[in-house]
Amino acid sequence: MKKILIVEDNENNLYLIKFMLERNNYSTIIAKTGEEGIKKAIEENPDLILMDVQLPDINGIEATKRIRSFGKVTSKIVAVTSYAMTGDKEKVLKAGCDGYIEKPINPETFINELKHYLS
Amino acid sequence: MASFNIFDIKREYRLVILFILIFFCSILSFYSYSVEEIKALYVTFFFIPVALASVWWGYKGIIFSIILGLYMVLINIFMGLDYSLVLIPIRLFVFVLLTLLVSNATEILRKSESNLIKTNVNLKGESDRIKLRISEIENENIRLEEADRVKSIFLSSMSHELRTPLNSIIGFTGILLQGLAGELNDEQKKQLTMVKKSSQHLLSLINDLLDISKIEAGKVELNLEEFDLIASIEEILDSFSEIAKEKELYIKKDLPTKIMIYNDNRRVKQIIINLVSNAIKYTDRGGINISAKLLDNGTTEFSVSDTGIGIKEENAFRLFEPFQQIDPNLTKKIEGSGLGLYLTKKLILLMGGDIILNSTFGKGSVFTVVLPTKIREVQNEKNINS
Repeated sequence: MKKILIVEDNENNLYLIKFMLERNNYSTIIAKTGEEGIKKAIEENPDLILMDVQLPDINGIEATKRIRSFGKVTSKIVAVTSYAMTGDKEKVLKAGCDGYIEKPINPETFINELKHYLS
Repeated sequence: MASFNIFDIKREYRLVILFILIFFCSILSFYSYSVEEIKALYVTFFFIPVALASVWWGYKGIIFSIILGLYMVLINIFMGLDYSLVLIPIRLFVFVLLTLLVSNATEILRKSESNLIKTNVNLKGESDRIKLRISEIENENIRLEEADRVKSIFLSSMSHELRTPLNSIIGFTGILLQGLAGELNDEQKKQLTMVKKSSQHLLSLINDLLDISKIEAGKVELNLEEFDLIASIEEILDSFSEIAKEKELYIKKDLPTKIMIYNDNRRVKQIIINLVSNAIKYTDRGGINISAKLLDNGTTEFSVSDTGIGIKEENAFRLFEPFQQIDPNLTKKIEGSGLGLYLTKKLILLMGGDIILNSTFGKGSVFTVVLPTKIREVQNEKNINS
């Protein structure tokens, strides 16, 4: 079973993503802050990290940079961005993300998009 | 004994003395001199004192010379002298009047000079007031700009706050509709579909608001890249084909195989989507036609025409204003944020292009967009608020 780390501060969004992933037979780990996300990423080295960009402590871009600079984490990182955050596309890719998914998450296409990164 | 000075005497008395002198001289002249000599006397004794008197007395001088003139005429008649002599005091009278006018003119000049000085002072005061007003207006401007900035920040943060809960609504509705949380019956599906549609409509409204607040705050950056406009148009038309089918509308295309433009692909798509969705929204019979062509002058033109309800000429200008839907009855039937065309126009202007509307009420509309084929980088920084 593929392991996915969800870094997301909003309870509802977290539940939404977790629910969708679990129903589609993925195992999930959750982190509610950037720091916690980095810690869990290093500890667990999941297959995929879903990284919210706007987090309460350090933002997703910074967290991604730190995970990548650690070196040992082989996870694919997909940023979850708000609509029309100008320049975010380049920023997240430069920070070391493998791609990004825009909010609001579309349940019909979400799993297929993730499969693309997990293959 | 102090020396006698005629100027120590009051001006009025001086004139009385002059008058008496003249009187005695003239009486004397009529008895002892010939007519020619009388003429000479007139000149000597009347010319100078009368002129002086009128200068001293101003307007009173006029009255004085009139009295003097009448007196001379009466004397002449009474003495049975030649009537031609009457001309002498009349000529004098005219002379005195001229002298008076000159002295008056000087006075007028002096007065107007002092008026000028007064006006100058007034003008200076006025200019100070204007300067004060300008600085007031400048301050007011700064306040307004600040208010505008706060409004933009408010809008963009509100949009973010509004979107976060909406993301869950859309997400969970999607999950429920997919049956991930358990089977749904038909009525539940129908109602949840309504929730989904409404929340998506609300989302697009919020997104438009966010875009507008960004544009107005001068915060929109265009992500410039080279892309095929025709491919983007085709992609959009594909996504609308189902809705057009449902409404039994045709979609005609008049497109070349390829037009490479340098612009923000996402924003250009946003513009096309807006125009196409409007065209479909406001058309019940017939269909829409989309065309594009590369022009010689470095611009690219595309237009979306429909056979829809059209717009009356007097309403056309309101179309690009925010929150305007021309027919209030239609608003009830057709969902729209009222921001679409306003945003579209703002984006087009930001790109250095223009949008033109040609419409016949009841027959349809043509929206033509002209964009620079290769957008210059500087336009990115241009503040379109101005």
